[in-house]
Amino acid sequence: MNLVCICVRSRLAALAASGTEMEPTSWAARHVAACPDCSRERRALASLAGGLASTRLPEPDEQEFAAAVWRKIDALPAPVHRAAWWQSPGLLAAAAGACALALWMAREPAGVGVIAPPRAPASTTRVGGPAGPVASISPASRPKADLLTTPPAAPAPRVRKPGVAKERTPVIPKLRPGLNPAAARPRRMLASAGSATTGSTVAWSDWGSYYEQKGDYRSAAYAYGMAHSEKRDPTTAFAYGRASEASGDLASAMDRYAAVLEQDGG
Amino acid sequence: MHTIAVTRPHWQTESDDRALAAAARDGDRSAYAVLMARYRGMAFAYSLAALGNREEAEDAAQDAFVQAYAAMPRFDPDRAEWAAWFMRIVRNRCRDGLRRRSVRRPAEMPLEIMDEAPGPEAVAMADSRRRVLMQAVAALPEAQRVPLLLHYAAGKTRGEIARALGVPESTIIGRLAGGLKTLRRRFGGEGLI
Repeated sequence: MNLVCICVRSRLAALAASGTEMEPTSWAARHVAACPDCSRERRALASLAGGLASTRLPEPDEQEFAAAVWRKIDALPAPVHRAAWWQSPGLLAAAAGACALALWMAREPAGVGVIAPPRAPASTTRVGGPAGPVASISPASRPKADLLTTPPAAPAPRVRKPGVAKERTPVIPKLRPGLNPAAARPRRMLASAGSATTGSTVAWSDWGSYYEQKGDYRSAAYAYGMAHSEKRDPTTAFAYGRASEASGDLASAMDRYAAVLEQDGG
Repeated sequence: MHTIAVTRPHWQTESDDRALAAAARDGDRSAYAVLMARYRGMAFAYSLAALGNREEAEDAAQDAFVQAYAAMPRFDPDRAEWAAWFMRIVRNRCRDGLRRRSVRRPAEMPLEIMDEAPGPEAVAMADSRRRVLMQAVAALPEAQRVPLLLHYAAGKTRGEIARALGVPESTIIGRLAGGLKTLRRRFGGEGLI
């Protein structure tokens, strides 16, 4: 089988399938006539097509077939005219209600949109402790080590006014490692601490009372000491001595008690 | 309402199909009966070639006619050819049948296309050889088996087969040639002679 045979045989099946004959004068027809292999291939394809054509597909009986189809058609359920959903009053009302609910939920509630900043308290709240004048924390008198370990929560927005010097955000270092007063700090103290950034004052004596209640006598003694250094009064001095005594600093406690006795004229 | 004469002699044209389909859509059962008589052979032949089982093929063809009748109100004769639309239904029914069979009976079914009364050419061919040929045809892929059977065994023209399968006529010729070559390789030598 040469190259011409391959070329001719590729056409033989297509010719048999299309039902056409080769042109007798074409080169392919001349080759098929001369080549025994290609001639045998052509006869084989022709016999194959003849064999296929010798079979007959059975056909169903026309009457039975039609009768069966009409039986099945007649057995079909009658088409039920279903009204469109918008023609049902109940569904229409439900759809209208759903739309109204969606619109109501999508609307912007009145007053919402701008969250007003929390207002700073007008005055300092005293948290327990001895009665007396409240010392204000000014930037100059602010201790190097503050008692807060975290910055005050929710600072009020600043409004800069012409002619008013820019206020510095206080840097509040940690007093002692492991101390986290924010976790248990009273709410009133938090409000007061927040107001400290806006110019309000927190009394050192309040801090002392707070830490004394917490059992942190060393911090309480420090706070009372700061309060006593700002304003020397017997009450603060006594609290200073009490906290120092509780913290174990007996020498400082004796000094404070002595100062109280001196002021009382004793 | 369209009026169609059922005994009309020349209704093997597309325009008649359109008129018949329009009349059937409007509820004319006699028009649908004409369509059924016209396409029963093709629907059954296709179903038999695809499914390989006479009972299943008959059921599939009947169900296709029932489904087409139920869907006639949605058929627009001006936009689609009824024959192509109907044969698509037939193909889908056969596909569903093959899918059900693959679940129910995974084994390959023998093709039962042997006629009870063979023609004179078939008499010349030994019965055993015919059986071997049909087994070889049954083993062909569906794309080659269906055109071969519709053309040679059912006597449909290539154009009719192309319309029934929804493909160009050249595609049908290519599939016929491919089927013949596959069978030729299967038998080898002198083939069936």
